Amino acid sequence: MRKLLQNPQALAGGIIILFLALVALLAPYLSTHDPGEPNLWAILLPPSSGHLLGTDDLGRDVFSRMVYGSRISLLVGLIAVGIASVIGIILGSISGFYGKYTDSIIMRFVDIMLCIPTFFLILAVIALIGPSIFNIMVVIGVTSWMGVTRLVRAEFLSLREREFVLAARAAGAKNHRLIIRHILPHALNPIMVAFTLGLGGAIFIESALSFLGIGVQPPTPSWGNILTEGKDNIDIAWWLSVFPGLAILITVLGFYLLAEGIRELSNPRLKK
Amino acid sequence: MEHSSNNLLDVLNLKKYFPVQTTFFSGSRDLVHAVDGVSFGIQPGETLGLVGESGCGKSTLARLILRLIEPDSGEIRFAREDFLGKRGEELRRLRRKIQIVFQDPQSSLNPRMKAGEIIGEPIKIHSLAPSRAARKEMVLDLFRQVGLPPDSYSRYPHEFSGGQRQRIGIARALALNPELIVADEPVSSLDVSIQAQILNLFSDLKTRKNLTYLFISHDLRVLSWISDRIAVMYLGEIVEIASTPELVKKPLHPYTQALFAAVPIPDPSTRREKILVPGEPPSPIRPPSGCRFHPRCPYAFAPCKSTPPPLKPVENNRLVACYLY
Repeated sequence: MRKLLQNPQALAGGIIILFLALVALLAPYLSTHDPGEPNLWAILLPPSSGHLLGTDDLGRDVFSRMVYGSRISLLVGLIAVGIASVIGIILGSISGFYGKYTDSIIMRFVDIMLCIPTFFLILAVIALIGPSIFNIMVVIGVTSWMGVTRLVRAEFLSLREREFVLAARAAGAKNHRLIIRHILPHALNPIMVAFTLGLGGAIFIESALSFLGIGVQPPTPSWGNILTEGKDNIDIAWWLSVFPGLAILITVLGFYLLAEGIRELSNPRLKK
Repeated sequence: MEHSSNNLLDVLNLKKYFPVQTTFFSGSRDLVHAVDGVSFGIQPGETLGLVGESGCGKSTLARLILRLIEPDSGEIRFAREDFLGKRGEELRRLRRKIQIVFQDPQSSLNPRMKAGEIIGEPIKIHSLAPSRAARKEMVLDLFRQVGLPPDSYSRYPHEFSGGQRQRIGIARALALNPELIVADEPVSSLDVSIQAQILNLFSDLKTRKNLTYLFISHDLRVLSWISDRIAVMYLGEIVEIASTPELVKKPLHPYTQALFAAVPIPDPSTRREKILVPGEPPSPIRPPSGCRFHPRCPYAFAPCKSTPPPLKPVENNRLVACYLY
């Protein structure tokens, strides 16, 4: 952990994410206005001391909406990647540990899933089952587990031949003990990298879905649907498009930096 | 005669070939003949040494005997029971009696487990201790037996020296009260002074706990010291088995002779006849026809090239696979 703080990339990413988490947590205290309250006397006002990031076409405060929107983004990211990681760790462990036909079947399934353009699959599924925050989290989760699966499988393939695993097997350890006690703990670092990378990706997908109008539904604010409103007024109200766009960019960047930092630390070849 | 029924372990015509895929599109697969028709027996209380150069299949043989990998054909009998036919609980019960000590204690100890957990794990798996406290007591007793301080219990493997780590490996093997211990190059990664300590420990434990060893090494000096009999392996086959004094006094197989000639003598004034073996060991993917040693053997003659010599008895109770005898 101390090493993580000494890594400039991880430190920068970590600060961004910590800041974001605090904003999401303290949303009721940080917001200056009710994010859902329209004000017909304050439509499309540019950023000022009264409205830090201006107002939208219904006169709602953009800053307050974005502060509440960060909750949605982080929640969707965490749950979706959580689902993807659980599926990935389970399938990857089974695939890498048992090998042979089990491995072939799971890996061919991964290949099939990777052939399908995920974003359009998500679009189709959401169109079918209807948009809700819950649906979005689950659908993003069950369409983005393939990377974790491959990663975990690769780790298991090399770890299961290690001598301490063989020794435990010779001592009579059953498969579940070998997997949970001896192999999985050594595969955690790459899983953490994949988890962090996945968070940035999931937040990005959620924003894209909301932007297209099939993500988080108004009036619930999300960075994606604030952007959508911004697109209609882009020639007269630049602040409606620029600030949510920046928020998405910085968040995704933060997660990527943190992931890169963890990756560097867990790769002994990159250690000095 | 070599497989008298009172042997603790009998290995009969054991074979393991590993497939190597040469190119993606070629349908035919090459096979590494890692262990190719190996037979031997070990009597209770005996130490059988197994010597051979790297890549000759020693470690594969060790893993086959523990069933960490499954052989392609052949038989393994432990105390006259068919070990290869065992499944599930029966396998676990029989496995308790055969344990292994690996070459590199660095990689054979889980770096995320404390020494006490590593040694306690087999006890826990087989429920040999009635309580947590009893298990700890057993682990501490094992620490004493292998000469580790009791405060090792909650330390991690990286906090120990190489020799101490190997003691942890030995204690783990002892935890299940095995009858046979397969030691796969247990002293090769240690420096000479530590080697002597660990070898003494092996020999003490053997007399104290009535153990039987299959002791694998590439170092004939180590094996001559610890073994009752020595088997010499070359390219997946056993070429000679004899009692240690006889083998040291008069190695019969040309390969054994060459191995002994390569043992350094710590006296620079000693001159002796050098037997140099020309060439590299051939690829185990396409082993030579006939006797596998014939392309490098100074005494090779016609039959060596065509038919592999059988491992046959010569003199009193020693076996050698060579047409010279």
